[in-house]
Amino acid sequence: MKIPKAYFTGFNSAAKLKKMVTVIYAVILLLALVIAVPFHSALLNQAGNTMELQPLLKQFNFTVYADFMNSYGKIVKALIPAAIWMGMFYFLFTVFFTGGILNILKDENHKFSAVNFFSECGKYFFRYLRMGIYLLIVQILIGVIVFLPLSLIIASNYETTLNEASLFYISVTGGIIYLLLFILVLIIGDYAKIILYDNDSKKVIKSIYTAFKFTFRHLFGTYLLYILILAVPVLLFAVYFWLDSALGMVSGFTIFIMFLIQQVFIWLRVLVKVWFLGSELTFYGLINVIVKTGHPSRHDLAVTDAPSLQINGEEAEENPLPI
Amino acid sequence: MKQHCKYSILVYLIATFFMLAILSSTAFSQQLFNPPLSDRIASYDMSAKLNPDKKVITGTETLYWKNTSTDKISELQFHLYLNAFKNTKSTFIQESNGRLREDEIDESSDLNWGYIDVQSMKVKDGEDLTGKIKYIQPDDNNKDDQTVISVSLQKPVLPGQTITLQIKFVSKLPKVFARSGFSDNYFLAGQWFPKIGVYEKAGDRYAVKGQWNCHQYHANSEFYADFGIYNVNITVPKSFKVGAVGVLQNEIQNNDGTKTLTFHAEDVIDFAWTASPRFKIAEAKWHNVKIKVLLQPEHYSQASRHINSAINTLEYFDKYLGKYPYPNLTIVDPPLRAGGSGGMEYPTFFTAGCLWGMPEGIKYTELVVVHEFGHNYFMGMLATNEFEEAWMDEGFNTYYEARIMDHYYGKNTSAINLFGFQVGDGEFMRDSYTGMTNPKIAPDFNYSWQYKDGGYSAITYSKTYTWMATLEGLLGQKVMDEIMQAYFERWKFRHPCGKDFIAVVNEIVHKEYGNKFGENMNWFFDDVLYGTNICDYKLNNISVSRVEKEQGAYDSGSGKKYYTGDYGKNEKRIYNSKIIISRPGEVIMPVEILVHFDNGKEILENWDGKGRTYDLIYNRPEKVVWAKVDPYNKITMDVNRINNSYTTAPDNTVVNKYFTKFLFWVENIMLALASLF
Repeated sequence: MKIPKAYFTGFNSAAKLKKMVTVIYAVILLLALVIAVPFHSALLNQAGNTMELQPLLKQFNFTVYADFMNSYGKIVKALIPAAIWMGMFYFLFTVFFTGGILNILKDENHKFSAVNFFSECGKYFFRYLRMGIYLLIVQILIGVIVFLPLSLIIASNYETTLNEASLFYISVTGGIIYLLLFILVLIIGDYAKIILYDNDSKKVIKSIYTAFKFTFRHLFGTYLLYILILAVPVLLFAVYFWLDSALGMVSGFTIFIMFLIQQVFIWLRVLVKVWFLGSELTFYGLINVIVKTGHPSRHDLAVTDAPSLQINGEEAEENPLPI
Repeated sequence: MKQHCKYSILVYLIATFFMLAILSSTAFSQQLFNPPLSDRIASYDMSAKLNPDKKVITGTETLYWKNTSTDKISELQFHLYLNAFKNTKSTFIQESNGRLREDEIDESSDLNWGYIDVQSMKVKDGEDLTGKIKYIQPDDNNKDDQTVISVSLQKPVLPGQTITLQIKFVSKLPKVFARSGFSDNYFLAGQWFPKIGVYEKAGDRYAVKGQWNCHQYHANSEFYADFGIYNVNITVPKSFKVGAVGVLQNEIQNNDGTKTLTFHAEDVIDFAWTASPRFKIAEAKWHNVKIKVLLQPEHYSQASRHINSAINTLEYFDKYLGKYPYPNLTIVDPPLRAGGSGGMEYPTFFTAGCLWGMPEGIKYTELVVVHEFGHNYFMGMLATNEFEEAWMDEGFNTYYEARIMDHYYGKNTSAINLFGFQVGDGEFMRDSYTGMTNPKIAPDFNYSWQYKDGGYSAITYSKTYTWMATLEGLLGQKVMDEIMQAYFERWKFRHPCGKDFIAVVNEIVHKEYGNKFGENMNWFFDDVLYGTNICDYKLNNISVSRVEKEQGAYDSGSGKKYYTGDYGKNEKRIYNSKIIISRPGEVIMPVEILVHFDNGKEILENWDGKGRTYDLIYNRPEKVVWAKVDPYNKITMDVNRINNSYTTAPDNTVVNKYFTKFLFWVENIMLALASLF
């Protein structure tokens, strides 16, 4: 019952933090507009008086797209790296927001106070930044560890196989393995954030290590919980694509409706991001309660800068503070 | 006696009848076309024995070559194409750097090189020519290139005479990377035998005097050969399935674990064959044409894609160009690691290409089948010189490929139709040219090996498609079909060249349109074929202003008349609408301009396109709202259609649509990157 409880508690927590979610969404929107407004101006400037873009209203038209990109594509292409840089910039914002989000999630009333929120954001920013960099390095390493042998296997198989189906299956298997590991790192990262915050620790690597142990000891629970929440944005994407094809963006009205849907979708994605942390925080708490109520084990332990506790003569990593 | 004599005559007549019947049936089994479709200058009787382990074909060849010129010919020239794969110094490898069509030469094993050795060559019952074989390099003087040989004859071949040569050769097939070779136990034997060049007599194509046209094997170039009859015995292990140019006439099981198959082809310019134990065969029939597809087992589920697209193509060519005369068609599906042999064309026989699990929405298989089949016409029957005028086979064929694909699979969906992403084959071909970084890199009229700075494919295939589609746009499909049908009927089973095609265009256009497009269409070909200019028309601006009435004092008789400049109460206001059109490109085409007024009225104007700018001015009670150059997209080669129209009442709905989409996906990119933490 821990997983359903964590799942719904996390959702309730996120749902109560609409104000905070809206603040984060507003940041995303503003940053995205920095890129999108020049795009809009470029389109109007280059093709505002032409009628040749009209076929694009009903559906994709390759000739119109190709001619536009051949003639004016440099402007659009220049904006794509800008969008990626802006994404990286927002990555820093995400790191920044983490302390504030966890602060509000841990508050029983989930009351959003801008002062508290931003002071906690600032307090934990550099710790989480270090953590973010470490986790990115791990992600890159995992990519290398999976894809390097995978490409070697494919290359060697290419010389012997007569059938590309086997290459396809090898690639898909490699892709799935990478995806599972990628998600695993994300899960470990989330618990590392919780553990670091929970203990107000500055030991980033130790927090990651503790989260690593916690995740592996509760692999089924942590993974299932993550997947169940991850299913929500996947479902949202499916709904979005369905709405896009069903409504179509063929008139000013439907474009406006789809614009609203798109922005609601982004808002919901931010909500889901909070939901992840809320549910994982709850799950982590539920496990710790079990530890505290007489089922001791050396798992689920948090990091503290205080002297280590001893359980059964061994150094414990748990911070027995209530969650 | 009398009775006996009568009886003897009767027996004799019956016996003669049966003899004749047997003989004629034998003869007809050999003969496909009577009268012959071509002049059958070069005919071959060959035997080929495949050693699948050594990747070697041991062959004998009897060549019957007819001198149709008025010259006494004392030198023969042959292609030894497989020597292109002999070493890194061949012209082919030098030019291609060992890479062709996404495939690369594998130098890791001695087995992977290919070559052809002529062991003996002699005139039947005459001179032994073996010692006279001399490698020549007519194109680039690369002394290491051994893809062309010259043999001098002691006794010249006289006009009208046929010389018979007996040749023994060994062909080592290369590991497939360019067109022919082996991959494991898959074999595609193309250009595998000593093949005589084309002797162009004075007046043929561009020849001013009789001369051999026998080019070296180049990376970009394909082939050029005379028509003839081929009788070929192919011996392979019993487990192998074989497909080849022509019709299978006989199959004998040998005692040494091999079998010998006999193929017969008439009025064809080449002979290729394939063998592999893995082939799974699918068969179908369209009218009298038997279609056989030799598929890799993992691709067998895509047999219908091959067959349906082949039938579509047969049907389309039959209706719009001319009859496919051959009784059969063989399609080969190469395995994964022999992709370099895919997409190759030979008469009645071609290689396609597909991948396991390829979605129906990606029409790659259909596209390759349509294209390669089309080569039966453009190169197979209209036997142009692919070395010198590749645009006449690849370009014309691409034009028909796009027409067929667009006809059967949708104008905007014939190449890709997957998850809302749609691309038509014609659209794709046009963009391959109009999207070039440097569309002026080389003219279309260019020897294929002289595209030294690249652009061979985009110019030869795509640019030709683009200007052929433009020609169709200018003339209409009906007249275009008439041109192509006349060209086909006049030149099939011969060797047309560019000027022959242009002559047909000029003749039909003059017949149908008089001087509407000028005295002839040479102006068109000067730009699109012989030149490198680009075509772009632009609607620069529309300005609308109210026409002011007279105001002030005007002399009137002995006095002055004063006008207020006001319109009368019931008088309609007049507006001056000025449309400015320009021609940023150099290519001159006649264009139409559609002008739309605010009362819904439309006028179609014509501009000869000769000036750099052109103004249209209207003084009317109605205002011009928008105007379009080339409103029906007839000029496919206009490199930028976005600037073809202008409206005074811009509708920003599309811009808003893509702005919201762009914004949404930028937000998603940001969230995706943020999700890494």
